[in-house]
Amino acid sequence: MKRFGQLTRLASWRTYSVGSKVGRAFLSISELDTFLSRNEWSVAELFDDRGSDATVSKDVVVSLLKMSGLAQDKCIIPDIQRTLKSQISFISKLQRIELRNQDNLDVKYARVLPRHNKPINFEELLSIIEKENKPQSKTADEISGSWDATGLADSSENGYFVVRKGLIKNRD
Amino acid sequence: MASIRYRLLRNTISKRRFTTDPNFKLICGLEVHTQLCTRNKLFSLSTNDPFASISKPNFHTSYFDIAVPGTKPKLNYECVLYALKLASALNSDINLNSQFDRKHYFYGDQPQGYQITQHYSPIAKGGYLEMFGDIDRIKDEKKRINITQLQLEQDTGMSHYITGDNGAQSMIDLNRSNVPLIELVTEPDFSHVDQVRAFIKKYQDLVRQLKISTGDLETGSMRVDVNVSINDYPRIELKNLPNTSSIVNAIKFEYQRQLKIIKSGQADQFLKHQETRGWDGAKTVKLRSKETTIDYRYMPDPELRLITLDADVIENVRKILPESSDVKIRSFLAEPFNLTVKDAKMLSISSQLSKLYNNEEVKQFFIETFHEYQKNAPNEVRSKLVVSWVLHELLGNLNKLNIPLKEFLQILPPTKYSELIVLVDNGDITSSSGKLLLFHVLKEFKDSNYIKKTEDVDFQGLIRQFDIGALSDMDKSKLEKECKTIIAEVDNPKLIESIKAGKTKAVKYLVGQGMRKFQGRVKAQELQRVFQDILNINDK
Repeated sequence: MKRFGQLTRLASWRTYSVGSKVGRAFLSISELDTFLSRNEWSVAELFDDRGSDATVSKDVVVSLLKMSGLAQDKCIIPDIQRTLKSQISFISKLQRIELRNQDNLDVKYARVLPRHNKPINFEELLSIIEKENKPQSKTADEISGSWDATGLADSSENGYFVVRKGLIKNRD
Repeated sequence: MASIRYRLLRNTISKRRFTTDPNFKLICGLEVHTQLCTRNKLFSLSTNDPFASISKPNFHTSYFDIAVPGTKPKLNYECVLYALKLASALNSDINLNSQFDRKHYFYGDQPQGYQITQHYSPIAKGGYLEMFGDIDRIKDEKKRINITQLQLEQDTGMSHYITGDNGAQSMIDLNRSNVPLIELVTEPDFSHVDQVRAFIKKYQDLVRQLKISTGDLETGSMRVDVNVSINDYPRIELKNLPNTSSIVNAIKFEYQRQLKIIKSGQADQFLKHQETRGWDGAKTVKLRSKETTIDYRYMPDPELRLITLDADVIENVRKILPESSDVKIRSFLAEPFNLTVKDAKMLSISSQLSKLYNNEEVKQFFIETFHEYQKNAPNEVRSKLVVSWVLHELLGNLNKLNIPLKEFLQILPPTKYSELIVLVDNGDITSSSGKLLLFHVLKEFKDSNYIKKTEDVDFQGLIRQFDIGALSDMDKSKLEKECKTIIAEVDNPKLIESIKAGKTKAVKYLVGQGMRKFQGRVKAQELQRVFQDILNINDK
């Protein structure tokens, strides 16, 4: 939460840009922390959609609302259109950033930090499974009946969660 | 109008034997979802028991299973092992670096708002399942169905739709949420419904032999979607097919529906795009068209690491696979067993025969009993006799008396049980007397609370004690005299006339009377021969 707060401040304070670029991958969390603590980039600029030719029609917004199971009557469609346009612009800018050695890039490893797992051999696999299957490996909530799953739900009945039919239908 | 048209189409299909038009080739592919019977769920260690729903909804749910904000998935590697076993048995190429992806869609029984699946880099690709004309009852001598890919993924929860005080609503049970599934996708290699039926049976047997799933369609442990098309027209996906007969009937109906559209020249209008249809028990009905297809917005799951495996896993998984059913069946069809396909399949195909025994135990008992019998068989080896005494007499008695096979082995292991079969084969006792003897021994065993041992069983002593030895040395003229008395006592000229007129089955009634008179000590075949001699009719 603390870091999220910092990012929000960055977004509101920084109004300048030194241009976006993709450098080498970070090697450690501390490198990432150092990078995030320096004023080298501007979130506001990335969300600036001036010059963007992206359009979001009202029909698309309505369709997205339906797909997400959200009610239309309480939404301000023009606001959503504006926000989506800004987000599309942001994604477009990210996609336009030049990548070095793009041909050799394996998307599986395209992360903030490298993630190369140690391969698990057969013996280790069996050992992991044996350990996982021991009752003591379960956390408290993983023990059947140990907590009331529907206890905090707004609507439940006889142990079931209740979903209004209208929410299920017309989702396309 | 449409319903009348469908009714006519349905009646036409059900009354006629289903055939395909040679100019309009049926093309089918399958998507099979199989629930894995691991102890715990896919991304949590809550108990994997999707059938607890009726009495205890949401009982087997962790914070992650119901998507409490902030919870993260943790892979259960037992699911990985199960998937590897299936991939290896299907000769698929195992991916040593597979990954999980998110498939986004909104539904009440999918609390995360996305399903974790393997879209970009599944655990296995390629492979095949082979079917054979003699074993799998397909027209071709051999048919190979190629596998596209296998992927691990989460099951959803379950929705029950009711109309309550607040109107229509869905009751959501998340016991099934996050239960591990394998989705298997085949190439569109099926050209006849018989192949589809055979594939499903064979695949069910495979997952049961591997002990990775119950493979039951009726409970939803296995769910099959079918893609059906004709020639190069777009494919139609069929969903909601609860059992094999629904699958077969839906394909037949859909083929005829598409064929009718094509022949009437309306394909441009009605078969232009891919479409998803359901099965209502009588006809296929439109669920979704291409225009309303959901964009799932797939993305790699950032909370799950790759499944990175060492190459030694492939070889070691192969080593722990059980012998395939095809190999078992072929071995029973060959020397020394020479069984029929039906009997060989009964001994080889895995099914939960009873709570008292499983298929593997029965198969092992048969093989050992057969070899013991073979050592002491008085004449030529009669494998059908051993099959009958194991599959019918033994299992029938175990069911009747509720005795587990494991307990039974204490008193009549293969060495001892084969003695009984040899006594029957040798004519020392008739088959009827043998059955009585077996029941007596098992009843005593059960009543003793399974204390009796093998050495307590003396078949010869029991035969003498109950005087049930076969009357093989009975004088022929004496036997004939007794049989004539039976005919006189029955006193039914119509019956005798019908036997003489050629209804040879009617002679069974007289044989039954004879069996009763001699208390099963004379063989039924011998009695039948004597009755036919007396009535001067030929054996047919």
